[in-house]
Amino acid sequence: MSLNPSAPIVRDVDPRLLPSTLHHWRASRARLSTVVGLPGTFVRASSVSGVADGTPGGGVTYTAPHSFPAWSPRDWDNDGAAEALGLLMGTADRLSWAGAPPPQAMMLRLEIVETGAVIGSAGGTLWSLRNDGATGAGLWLDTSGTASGRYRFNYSDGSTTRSALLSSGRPTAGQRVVFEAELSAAGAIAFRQSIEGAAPNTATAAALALPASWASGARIRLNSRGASSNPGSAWYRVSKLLPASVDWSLAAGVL
Amino acid sequence: MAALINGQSLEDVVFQALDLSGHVARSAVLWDAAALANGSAVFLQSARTVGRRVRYSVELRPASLIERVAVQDALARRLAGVLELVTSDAPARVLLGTLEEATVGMPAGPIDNPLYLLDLVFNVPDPRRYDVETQLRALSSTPVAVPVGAGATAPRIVLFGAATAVVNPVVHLYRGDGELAASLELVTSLGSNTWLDIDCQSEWVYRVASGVATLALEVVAGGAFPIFSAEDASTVAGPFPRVGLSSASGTPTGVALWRRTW
Repeated sequence: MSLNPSAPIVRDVDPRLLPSTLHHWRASRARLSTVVGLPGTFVRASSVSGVADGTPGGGVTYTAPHSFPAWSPRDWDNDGAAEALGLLMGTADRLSWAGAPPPQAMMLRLEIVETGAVIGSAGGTLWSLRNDGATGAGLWLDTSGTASGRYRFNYSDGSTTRSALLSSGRPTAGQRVVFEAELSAAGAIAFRQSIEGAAPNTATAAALALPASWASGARIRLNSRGASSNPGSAWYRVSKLLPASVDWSLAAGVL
Repeated sequence: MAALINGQSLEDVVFQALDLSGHVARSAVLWDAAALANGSAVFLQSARTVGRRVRYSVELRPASLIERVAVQDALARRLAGVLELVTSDAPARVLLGTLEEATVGMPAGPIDNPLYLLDLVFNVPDPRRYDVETQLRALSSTPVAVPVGAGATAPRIVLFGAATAVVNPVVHLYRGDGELAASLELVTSLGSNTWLDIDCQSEWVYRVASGVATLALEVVAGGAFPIFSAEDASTVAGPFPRVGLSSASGTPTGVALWRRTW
């Protein structure tokens, strides 16, 4: 009888790991909070239909109602099975966390599956560290626009903006993409994009001295640049911000 | 064979791993029992498992005594707090533990030799391995299979509202052979922009309306919170337990979220 199984019932623990990152959220936990327990704020004032569940063979979908995160498993290791849980976000979805690490040398790792909805538009933002108005000093990863547009990583000190725009590599809908961006202590940007595990496309931007602080109210955001502006669209798996002292090869780790 | 600790192999600081043990053995299930007067003991309904200890021995070869201190500092930081332990024989499953012992062994020889052995012992109070990735299935009036591991899991079940309100939804849990195992009866009406968040672990229920959550324990009218148990699966490979929904009116839909255990 399942209600009193002879094997003890597992309690769905939510361990709050000690931070060795500046910020780390992963969808595999099916939670909006980061791995250290920082709560996330999710907004979507509408329903979204056609969200795939994890039934083997696919084809089963559900409609995520108003404000319910559209959790959806997909194949991440390219074995044909939808084993990895992610958060499907369209242009009406926004997820953010209060606070932001101060300006410093840091690295971003963002794992997504491209949905193709905004890559042809300018400013569709997948990740940002910006205030509600999307103004002042901050960081953001967005699209450059036009039909042949690509992703770019941007850094503003509040008056000047540097952009590292990829000159090649434009993911199509359904492709797995890993972004890595590094902001150096001198304010230089190195941006990498790997599509379907291939060798990364790279871009850089010249140094611009780091500001004393980010714009007041800056938050780490997925799928938007501010409280309402420049939404993106993607299936998100991991968002991780690391101190730049961590080697690139270790950035792929869970924490 | 390798171990990942919080997703990192320690390969940047460790020269080589020498021993990894304690993660394979099954942990015995201890059934509580009560002695009967003038008779033998009988099993009670509760069961427990004892934790496990995982040993990970590594060799480090820092370039100098000063670097040895730096390596120790780095390890102390990376081995602090609750740790996720993943071994390469089961990369999709995770153990949760804390570092209990870190014994240093110095080799005989010159005192300036920075090489040393480090014996790490992790305390894993819950011996089972969890899914790294949360499972998700869409729920409807047609029961769907919910894969389970070797253990039992309390899922999170979310019931969605609709423009035509879903009135008095019921969550049904079926065994792998199709027999009804349990039902959770709820008395509520779920309209547009509303959903019910049911935590079968804590047995708490929240109603979320237009993004605002409020406690809604009062909607539980009867039955029992479903548990996804391997004992309801016909075999380890299935057929697995199934979950379906019904309601007094409206079309019930929702999702189940859970992590399998072994």
